Amino acid sequence: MAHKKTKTERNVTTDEGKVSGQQPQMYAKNSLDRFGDDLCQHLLSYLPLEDRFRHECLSKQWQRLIYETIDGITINRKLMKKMKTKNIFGEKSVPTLRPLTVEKWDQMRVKCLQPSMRCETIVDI
Amino acid sequence: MNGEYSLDTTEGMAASGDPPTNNAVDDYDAEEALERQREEENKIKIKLKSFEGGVYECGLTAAKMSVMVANMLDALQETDLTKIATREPIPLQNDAVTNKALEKIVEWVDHHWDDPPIDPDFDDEKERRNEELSHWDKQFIDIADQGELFDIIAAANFMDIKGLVEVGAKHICNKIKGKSCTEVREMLKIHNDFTPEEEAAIHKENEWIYAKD
Repeated sequence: MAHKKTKTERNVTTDEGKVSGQQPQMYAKNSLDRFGDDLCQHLLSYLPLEDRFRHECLSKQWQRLIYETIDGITINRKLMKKMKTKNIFGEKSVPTLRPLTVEKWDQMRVKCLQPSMRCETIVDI
Repeated sequence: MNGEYSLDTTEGMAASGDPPTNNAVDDYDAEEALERQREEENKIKIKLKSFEGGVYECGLTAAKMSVMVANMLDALQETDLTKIATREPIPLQNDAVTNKALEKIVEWVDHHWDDPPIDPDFDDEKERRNEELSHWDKQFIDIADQGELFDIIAAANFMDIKGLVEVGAKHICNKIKGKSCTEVREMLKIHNDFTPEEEAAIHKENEWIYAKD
């Protein structure tokens, strides 16, 4: 397939200071792989939370970026129900829903902390 | 004396009460004036040159929606804006800026030139992010050829046109919402660089999302 051409990371420098980003970076024009991390992360920032869990396994680039820019998360009743069913929140006082750390939750409210701590979201459900 | 004093005070109060009203009028006038100036400036047509060499004409205000183009124009330090129109076309040196992409981009900025500028620190940022695309934007961005669509998004990103990148982002996210991994991978031609084991592990971790409602 076309998008199997040589791939490299952009702006990668090795420890010795040699620029390794000089390898040609060629992707098919109609493949989303052609976008660098910045743009890709921006595009994914519009994805609803539920779809982020679903699409984490798409590629390593997606896995790396998909939770980076969660700045307004919506956990609706449907999603909440699934989380509860699967006991995502557990019984512990600080349950973890990777990659979000859920600080506290009760029937009506979830408070999540983004790993990068750039934002704190309180969601009413 | 007393009478004069109190009269003075009243006048003083009236006067101190007045400025906000005047300012409000001034603000309004200033806004109007700015609006008119933007409108006038948009009548000045400048030329943009694609990576492939195609030259496209675009209103000045519209062209300035591209932060990159705006910066380039600022760097010219041209006080007589009409002279900008007669200058050489502005070259856009990125291979995503194809003729087709630039044509579409010019169409988009010409339609959106009087949009309020996007300010990420602004309060309604979240609101705007969650807003549905307008009918016009939906039709604009519904492009069958995915390579062309990605060219436009990459070019808009290169030219720093935040509004248009957002339209592209929302469009792509709308397309992949609710789809399975395989479907999305197929649709966006994303190369799976996980080993089957790695993929299975992530899948297992997020398994709960597939629970039946």
